[in-house]
Amino acid sequence: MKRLLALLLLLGLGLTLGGCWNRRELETTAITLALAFDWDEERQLYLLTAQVAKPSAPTGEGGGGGGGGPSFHVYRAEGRTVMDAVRNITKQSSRRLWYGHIQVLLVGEAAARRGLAEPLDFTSRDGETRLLYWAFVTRGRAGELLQRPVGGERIPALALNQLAKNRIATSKAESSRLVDLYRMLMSPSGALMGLVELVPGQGSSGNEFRLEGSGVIRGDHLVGFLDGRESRGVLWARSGVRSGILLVPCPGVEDRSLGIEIIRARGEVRPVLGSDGKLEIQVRVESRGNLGDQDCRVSLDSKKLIRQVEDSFARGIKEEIMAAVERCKELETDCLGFAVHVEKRYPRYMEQVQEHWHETFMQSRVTVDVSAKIRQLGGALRPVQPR
Amino acid sequence: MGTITSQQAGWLTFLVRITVALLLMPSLRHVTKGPDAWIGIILGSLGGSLVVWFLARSALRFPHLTLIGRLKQAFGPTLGSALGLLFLLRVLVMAANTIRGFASLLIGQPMPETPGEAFFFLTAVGGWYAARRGVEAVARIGELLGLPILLLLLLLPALGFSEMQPSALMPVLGYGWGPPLRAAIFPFCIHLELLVLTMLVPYVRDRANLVRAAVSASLAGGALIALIALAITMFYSAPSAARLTYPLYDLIRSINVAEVLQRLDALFLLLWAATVYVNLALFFWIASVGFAELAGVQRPDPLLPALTLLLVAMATKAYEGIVELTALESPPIYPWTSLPFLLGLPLLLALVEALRPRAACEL
Repeated sequence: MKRLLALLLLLGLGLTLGGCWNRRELETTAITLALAFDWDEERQLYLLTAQVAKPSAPTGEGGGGGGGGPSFHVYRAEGRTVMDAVRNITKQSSRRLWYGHIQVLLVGEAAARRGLAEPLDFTSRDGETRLLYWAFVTRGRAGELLQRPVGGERIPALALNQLAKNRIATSKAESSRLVDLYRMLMSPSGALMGLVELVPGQGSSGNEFRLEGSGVIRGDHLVGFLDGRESRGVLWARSGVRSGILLVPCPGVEDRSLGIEIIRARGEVRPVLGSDGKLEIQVRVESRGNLGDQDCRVSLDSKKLIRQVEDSFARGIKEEIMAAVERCKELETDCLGFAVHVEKRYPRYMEQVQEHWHETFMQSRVTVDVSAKIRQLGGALRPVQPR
Repeated sequence: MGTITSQQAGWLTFLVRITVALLLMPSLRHVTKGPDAWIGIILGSLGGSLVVWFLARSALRFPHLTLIGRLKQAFGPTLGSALGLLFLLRVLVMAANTIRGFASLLIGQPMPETPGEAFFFLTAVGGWYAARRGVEAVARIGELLGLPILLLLLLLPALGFSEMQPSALMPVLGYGWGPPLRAAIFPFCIHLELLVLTMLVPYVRDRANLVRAAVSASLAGGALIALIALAITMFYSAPSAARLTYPLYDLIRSINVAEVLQRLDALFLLLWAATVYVNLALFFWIASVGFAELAGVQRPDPLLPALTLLLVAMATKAYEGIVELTALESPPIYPWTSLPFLLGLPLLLALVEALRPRAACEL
């Protein structure tokens, strides 16, 4: 009898005490897939846009679905802080928003220029969010990108998620997850965020997203942008290039190109502090590529020609890196992450220059050494030679 | 009341060693510069394991006495009982701390609107229920859960490997020994709390293996926490990890293997709840046996309901929030709240015992 009573008591406690306050029912929950933060300078308010999945949305193709409207709903709210805005959404939504499945976070240009630390603070404090979703910066208002269906995808957040995964095909944009962004923001160097824009689409598909280039963050403020080529220049140095096509001149044929498919790349940064106290940053990149296609009819069947192409390949990589270095110096920000390497090699020196590191970076000499190899020509040894 | 094996005592040592450390991973916060928290944890654990060795060796000199018995024997009934009472209050503080930490994680993250009292009651009642079954039952639970907990705690952080950056561990000792030594304070001091386990000595059957089991368990616990600190540092980078309240929980909830294996935080909470449960059951049992010995009562069971209520009251009133909880585990507060009593008491006791005729040692 005693045992039974004890068991009943425990079961009763379990039923009455365990989590009744925080229960979430599916029918009262809206699953948030994307968030966008913007800053209204005039009114000094954060504008929050949340894209949530419609639970009973039709599954047809296209943004509108099978004639039943879009598969998502957009809520907008404003607040003095992001959390304030998050809670203000509940004034419009009958369902409580769930942030555990966010795919993408967009930060508008004005909010990013004002500073990322404050709007991002919510993401690491909230118990629902996880730090593995993508974080991008936009030109203009970020909320605009979540308003309408884009391209052939039903839900813009999912399209952006896929776009971020596909960026390795060109390596022309930084794609950071929130955890990477935190790592960069907390390091002495600058940070990069992938740049997403809305561009006019082809045919009837309306607008489309384009992920190319990167926003440069100094401290936690957006200070400028890198284009696609410069972004890849940064990624070479940071071992972030996974794939992509690099165009090099066709040997012996003017104005014609070969498309080298980047197969592998590894970047190494070695800071060297001279006896005169001057810092030199040595960047070394090793890359392998295959011939992807050629816009000329030269047969690359001799070692000499392959060497020529390899030299051009190496030169192309070096030019991209130097373009990135120049642009980062122009923006007065170490967006290549050199500070992290200096801190590893010369921690005491880094302590001294940390306060004015970006100025030190601008005065430092950067040298680039590239070793590039072509290993495969694909399925054809020679180009098509019509008779 | 039952008896246990030295292996079971080892598992209990392991679980007591890791439970509080796992929650807040204080060493990550205590490093002011560089990513060397893991070195500090290893140093602290090595030093702490020496303390465990000393505690076990000195307890084995009087294998039939609990710590309360040894205190009474060494200092006489009045002073010995007073010191014993202080020790038991410390055990209750540790138990309240464990309950509070458990509730803090749940309230702070997945269940913010649930009153803490709900967790205090549930965990305290759970501890009471296990403790009333005796030390044998508590040790069996510890033995049963110990290995799965160890393996899962190794596996779960490892699942985040694809997002980890080994370069985040550089420079090693770039800022000298100062930062890791600061990080070593907590892991060293947490070993002092293992003094409570000397209450188990009279109940261990194969005492010849006890020292080895206790030291191995404390070293294994230190190695596990150091590996977890390595994983967290590689995942977040040292400065980013230092600002997180629950770094391990955050790491595990961010794991996403091939878009399939995710939201593993529930599994971690289950593991954490299991370690808390074993800890509490053990602390309950130790407190009840200790108070019974002090009061000269044969059976400790009747004391358990009162202890449960006392613990819930202590957990409710002891701390106001997470800021206090983290401050209590950080220098300069933590060493001062643990070193003088938890190291001073056994040292003083060993000194007095050494000066007195040695009792028969029955290993």
